[in-house]
Amino acid sequence: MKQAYFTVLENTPVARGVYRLVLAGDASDCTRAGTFVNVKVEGFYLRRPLSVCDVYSREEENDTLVLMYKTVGGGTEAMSRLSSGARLDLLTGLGNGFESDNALKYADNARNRALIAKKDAPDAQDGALLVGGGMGAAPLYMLAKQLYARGVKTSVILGFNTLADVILQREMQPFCSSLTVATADGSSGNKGIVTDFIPKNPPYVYACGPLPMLKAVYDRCTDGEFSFEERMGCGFGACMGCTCKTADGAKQLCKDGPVLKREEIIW
Amino acid sequence: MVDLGVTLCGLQLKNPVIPASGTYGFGYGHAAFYSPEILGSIALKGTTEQPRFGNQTPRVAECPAGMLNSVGLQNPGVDAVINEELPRLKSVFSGKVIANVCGFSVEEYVRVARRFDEAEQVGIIELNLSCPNVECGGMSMGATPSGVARVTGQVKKTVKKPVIVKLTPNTLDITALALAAQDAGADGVAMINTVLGMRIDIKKQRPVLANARGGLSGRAIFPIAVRAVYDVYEKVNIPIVGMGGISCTEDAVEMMLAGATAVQVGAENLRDPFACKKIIDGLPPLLASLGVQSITSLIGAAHS
Repeated sequence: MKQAYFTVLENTPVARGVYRLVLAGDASDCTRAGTFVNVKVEGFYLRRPLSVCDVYSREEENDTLVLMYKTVGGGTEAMSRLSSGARLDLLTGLGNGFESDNALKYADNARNRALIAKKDAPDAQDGALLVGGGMGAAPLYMLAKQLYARGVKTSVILGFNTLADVILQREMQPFCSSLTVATADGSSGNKGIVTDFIPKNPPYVYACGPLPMLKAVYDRCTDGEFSFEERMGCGFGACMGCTCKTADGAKQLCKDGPVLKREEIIW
Repeated sequence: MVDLGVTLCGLQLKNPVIPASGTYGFGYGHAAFYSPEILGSIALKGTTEQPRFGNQTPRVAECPAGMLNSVGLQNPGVDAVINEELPRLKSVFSGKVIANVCGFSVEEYVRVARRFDEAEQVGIIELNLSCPNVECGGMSMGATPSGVARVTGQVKKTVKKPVIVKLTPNTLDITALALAAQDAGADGVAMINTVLGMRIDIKKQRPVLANARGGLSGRAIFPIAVRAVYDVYEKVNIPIVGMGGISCTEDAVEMMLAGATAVQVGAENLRDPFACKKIIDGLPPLLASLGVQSITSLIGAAHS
């Protein structure tokens, strides 16, 4: 956890109401996919929590941090008016993030089980299945990149309402073995919802998206991690505004989450 | 060299700045940002006898210059606070803390206060008679002078440590609550808790908070708090811990001028984790520029 000032490099619309915000600053705490930053927006009281979409180091001392956000209210609309050169106050390195190790462990276990049972484990060939709905694609992009770097074979399913909402399809492509885009109206990719395209025995699942999508994905898999959204006060565990009930007791989604393991989740 | 030390109910504080209950957890979370050792004291998260999950989410809503919360006294229960949270806090804060005690009956307040009375790290017991987010207990017991007197009197009979009573502004006359606390033996009052409020989502046409109503905190309530402290200072002779919307060093000084011996900083800790540190760091230069040698000379100085 760190507080740092960033400079806006780019703030460009990439889909209907969706912006890609590229920042320069100290992103040394943003190493894990699924963690988030809390952005102070001039004129608004509480910060805006946004998941990290990408981070990479540059030759100079500054890192480059990529965030994606959708304009859903006054705060994000004000953000959309930020021009390059603007300074932003961020709290970085918030939340637990995804554990990419778990995909590897799960694949190993599945292979071992198949060996013992002396049968093929075809679905365990894939190390991970990433399922994103809408803006949920943003943290999964960084995860796909990290899994790719570790040699994990990754399938990705992204769901959107319509063509105008599709994000990160092109960017995600190089890092996954298969990429399925589903739109509710069929205007891009396959017509349908993400769960229509989840295989029968899916590998380890990483999901991020709206609550009904998370629940539907949960019902179609046996193991994985789910990133939840909640209104937050502070973003670092002080206010207890974003508490949820889990099998391990009450958790702060900002600090103990936003990612919960499948077995912890209570719907 | 400006002297920042104050004495609150017999407790020596190195400065008058204390993070308010509910905005600083049990004190060790903020240690990732700065050492809590710089603080005058720490008011712990409100504690009940049994663990509480609190209210359904959403529990927070943004407002112009402030926020609503309806957390509903989430806490792990007094046993876990004493056995787990206080030892963890001890590793980052060596001073005495303020235990914020909540209950749903007079008897529960007494039992929880008694437990904290035995805890070595606790210097002051703060009775939360002002939480607006629970059905019974909290504000429902503290919105009338008779309710304040009943709980305060019973707790004072039981504990040895100083007791301060945290008062609600959601009442007819907060000075009557403060007088009731003083008459029942309180060693001080802390004020104000949050102001009852609501936001409605115009798209969903429903209240934003799952619990509909919540407590407003933040800059928006600062003038309400200053007025309340000013009025209570004129009526009581026990120390006042002033709070409500303090967000900078100037606000802390203003609150002391109104009559506060010490100040608590609440919502500002949530939007700026360094809030208390900035306020403390700002005191020496601000007091020097005001020609103030000792911060205690500010207490109540706005009164003629």
